[in-house]
Amino acid sequence: MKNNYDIIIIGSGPGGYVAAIRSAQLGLKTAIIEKESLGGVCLNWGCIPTKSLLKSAEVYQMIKHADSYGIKADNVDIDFKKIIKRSRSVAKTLSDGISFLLKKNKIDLLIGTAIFETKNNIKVNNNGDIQDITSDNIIIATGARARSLPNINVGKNIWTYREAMVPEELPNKIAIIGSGAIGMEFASFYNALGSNVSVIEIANTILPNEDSEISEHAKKEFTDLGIKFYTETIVQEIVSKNKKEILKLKGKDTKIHNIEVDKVIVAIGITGNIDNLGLEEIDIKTDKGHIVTDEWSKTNIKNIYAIGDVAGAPWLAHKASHEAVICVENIAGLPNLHPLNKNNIPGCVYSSPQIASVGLSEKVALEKYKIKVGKFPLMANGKAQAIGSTSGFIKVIYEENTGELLGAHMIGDGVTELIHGYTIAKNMEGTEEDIKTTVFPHPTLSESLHEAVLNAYGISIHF
Amino acid sequence: MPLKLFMPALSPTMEEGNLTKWLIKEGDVIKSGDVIAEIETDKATMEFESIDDGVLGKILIPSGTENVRVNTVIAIVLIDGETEEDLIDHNNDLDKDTLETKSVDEDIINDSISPIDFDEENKASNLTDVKESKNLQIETANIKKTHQGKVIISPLAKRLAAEGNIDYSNIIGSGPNGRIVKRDIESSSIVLNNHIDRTKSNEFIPNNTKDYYITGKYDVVQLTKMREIISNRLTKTISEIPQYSLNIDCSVSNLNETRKRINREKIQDGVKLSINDFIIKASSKCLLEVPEVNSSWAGDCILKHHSSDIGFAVAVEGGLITPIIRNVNIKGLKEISLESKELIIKAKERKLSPTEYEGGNFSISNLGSYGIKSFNSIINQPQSSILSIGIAEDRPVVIDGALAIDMIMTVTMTSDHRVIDGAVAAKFISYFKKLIEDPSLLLL
Repeated sequence: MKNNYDIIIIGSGPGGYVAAIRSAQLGLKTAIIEKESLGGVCLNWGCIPTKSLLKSAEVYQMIKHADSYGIKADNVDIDFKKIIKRSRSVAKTLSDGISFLLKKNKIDLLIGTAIFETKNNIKVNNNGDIQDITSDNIIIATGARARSLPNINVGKNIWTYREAMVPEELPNKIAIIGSGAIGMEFASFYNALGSNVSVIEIANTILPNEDSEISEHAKKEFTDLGIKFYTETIVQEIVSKNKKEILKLKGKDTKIHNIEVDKVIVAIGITGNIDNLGLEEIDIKTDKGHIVTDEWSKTNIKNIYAIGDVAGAPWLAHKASHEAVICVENIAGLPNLHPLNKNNIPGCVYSSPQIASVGLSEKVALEKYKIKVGKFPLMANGKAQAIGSTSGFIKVIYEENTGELLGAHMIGDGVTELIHGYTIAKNMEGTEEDIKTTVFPHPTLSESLHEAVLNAYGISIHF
Repeated sequence: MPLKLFMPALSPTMEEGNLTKWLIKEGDVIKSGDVIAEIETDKATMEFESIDDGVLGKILIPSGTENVRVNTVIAIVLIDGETEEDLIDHNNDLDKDTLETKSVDEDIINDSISPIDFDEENKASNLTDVKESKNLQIETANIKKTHQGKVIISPLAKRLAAEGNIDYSNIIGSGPNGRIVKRDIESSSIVLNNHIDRTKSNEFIPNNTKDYYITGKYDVVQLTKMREIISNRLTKTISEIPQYSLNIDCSVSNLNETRKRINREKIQDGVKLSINDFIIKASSKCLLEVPEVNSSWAGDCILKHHSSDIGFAVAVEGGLITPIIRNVNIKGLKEISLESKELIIKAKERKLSPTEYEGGNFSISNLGSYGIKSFNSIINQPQSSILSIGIAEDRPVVIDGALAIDMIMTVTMTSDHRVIDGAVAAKFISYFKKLIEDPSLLLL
C-alpha cells in the first residue's frame, strides 16, 4: 500500500528530524509531518537564532571594551535590523540543511497539520489538501510553545520568545517575566545592546534550577552589568497606557510597585503542543500540558510514542534528539538499549556570562549522598587572564566514597563549550581519578575543569 | 551485509537460556515467521521465530548448548542473494568490531586493574563472536590475546565493586560493548552472595553444606533454572522486605452452598466453579475496596496499579509458577473459572507464555487440598501482598453463645510494611471475610 509507513513522525524539530533520519538509516519506511518550518522551534525560533543574536551582542560589547585590549574603536554603533536579519538567515540556512538531510535519507516529508484519525491513521491537512497515511508506529514530536500567564495577554507590546526574536526596533525599557534560561538570554541580549532591562522572578533566586552558588554569582554579575532584578515578586497586572506598559509588581512585602516599560517578554516556561492532534480521540494520556510517557518514550497507547518537549522536562533539544534515537532503535528491535539517563544531560544558558551544568546541584546531592565539593575560580586560570575573562568559576560535586561525579556547574565566558568534558566523564562513569590523570592543554580554560577536581580532593595546584 | 541473529530475550527477566535445538540447517531458506529453533528458558520451552527473510549462512551456537547469554550472536543470516563470500567479509567485520572495542576498552581500564581471567561459562558475548570467527578460519590469535584476561568495567563500577567487596569477574556488563557499569553492580545478585560471605558466623552457608555431611551419604542434584530463580528471588524478597502476616477465619458454609447451587445448574461450557474462583473474585473486589493494597514499592515511590491482575501459585514439576488472570475486576466467575483452568493446564505442561505469568499485582496460594490449616507465603516481589488459603473444614465454633459446627477456612495475608500498614491490611482481609461469608456481595 502506497501510504503505509513503518514509522510516522509528527514534527520536524530536533526530536522529529533525528528520529526520521535514524529510522531511515535502519531501513524503515519513514514519513515526517511538519506544519511550519523544518527544524522546529530549535532551529527557527529557539536555540539557533538566539545564539546568533547573542553573538552580535557579544561582539558589540567586545568592541566597546576594545580599549582594555589596546584597540581604539570610537563611535561604535549597532545596526539593529541587521542583527535580526543575520539571525533569520542563520535559521534559514540550517532549516534548508534539514530539508537536504531528509531528501538524502529518502524520508517522505508531508507538509500540513496532523490529526490522529485512529491509532494507526493520520490525516495530514495542507490547507484543505488532505492525505491519509497509516503506520504501526507513530512518534509524536510536536514540541512546545511559550506558557502564558492567565492575567496577561500576549500582544503588540507583550511578547513571548517568538516576538522577542524579531522586533522592529530596540526597545528602550523592557521587562522580562521569568529568570530561567530563556528569560536570562533575552535579558543579556537586550541589556548588552543598551536597553534598560528588569527581570521579575517568582522564586527567591534567579535561575532557580541552577546550583544556588551559580545563581548567586549570576545575579551579582548581571546586576553589575546593569540588569535589575525583582525576586520573590509576581506580576499582578499589566496596564497599557500611552503605548507603554505598566507592570504592577507585588513583592515579599506585599506592597505594590509599578514599573513602566516599552515591552514585556513572558518567559515563564513552556507547555507541550498537544492540542488539535486528535489525541483525545485515541485516549492518549496527558498531564499538565504534556504527553505521559515511560522511560522508553511509550505513551499509554501501544505503538504510539512521544519524544522531546511534548513529553516533558528537561525541555532541551539535545534531550529530544537522544530520546529520538533510543525510541526508534527500540521500535526497530535493536539489542542492548538503555533508556536515556536524564542525570547525564547537560543544560546551558548562553547569556553573558554563560552558565552550564550537568547532574545534581549541591543541595540535591546533599539530600542523598555524602559529598566532596571542589571549586576553581577562572581568575586563577592563565588563559582566562590572557583573554580578559576572569569572572566566574567551576564547581564539581563528587560522592565521597565512590568518586562518582554527581554534578558539575560552571559560570563564565565560554563555559558552555567546557561542560561536555564532565559530561563525557559522567556518562562513562569516570571517577575523580580519571580526570586527575587526564592531561588538559595549557593554556586553556579547560584546565579549570582539572583544577576544580583537584580542589575537591584538597590538592589544587593553582588555587 | 549478512544479518547477525541474536539469542532472544523471551521474557523481561531472561538472562540466558538453552539453545535446545535448531530446526533448520545451514543453507536452508528461512522466511519471516518461520520457527527456526527451540529455546528453553527458566520457565518454559519456547519457539524462536525468524523476523527476517534469507538463507541461514552459519550456525555459531550449535543445538544443545546450555546457558547461552541473551544477545549472543547465535547464527548469521544471508539476505538478498548474499553468498558465502559475504559471510567471510562479515566475519572480518566482526573481527574489526572487536579490535575497535579493544582500543576503547584499554583506554578506559585503569592500569591498576589486576587481570582477571574470564570464566569459561560466563564470557561476554563478543568473546563468543571471536571464538566462532576462529572456527571459520579467520585469523584471531592477536584478538584473543588482547581480550582475554581483562574484564571491561567502568571506573565507577570498579570502585563500587571494591567498596562492596563484590566479585565482578562473572558479571555480564550491560554498557557499551558489554562493559560493566554502575547499574550492573547495583543489580548484581552477587551482592547477595557477598552478603552471605560476610556473615561468616553462620556455618550453614550453602558452600559449606557439603563439607558438613559425609561424602557418599547423599546424592547431588544439580539445580534447575527454575530452582535457581526461586532461590534467588525468595532470598532477595525475605531479606529485603519488612513483611508481616495477619490471619482470619472465614465461614465458607454460605459460599459452598452457593457454589453447589450454581454448579447444579449445568452452566454452558460445563463450567464447575471452585472455591478458588470465588477467592480470586473476592480478592479483586477487595483490591477495589482497599486500593492501597494494589500497589508496589519502587524504591523512591510507590506504584498504585490500575488493574487487578491476580496470580495464583501452581505447583509444577521441579518448582512452582504463578499464572495471572488479568483485569479480574471486570470478569465474572465463569470467565475466571475457565481462564484459571486453562492456565493451570498450560502451567503443568510448561507452556505458559511470559505474558501469562509476568507482572501481576497480587497473588494467592492455596494449600488447602493438602490439609494445611494455615500458613504464610513469601511475597511475590514486586507485589506487596499474598493471600495464603488453608483447608475449608468443619470446626467447632461458638455461635450465639453455643457451640456449633461450621465450615471454616483460615486465610493469611502477608504484606510489605513499606507499602501497607497493618490497619490497611486488616481492612482488606476483614472485607475479604465479609465477601466470602456472604458471596451475594460478589454480585455488586
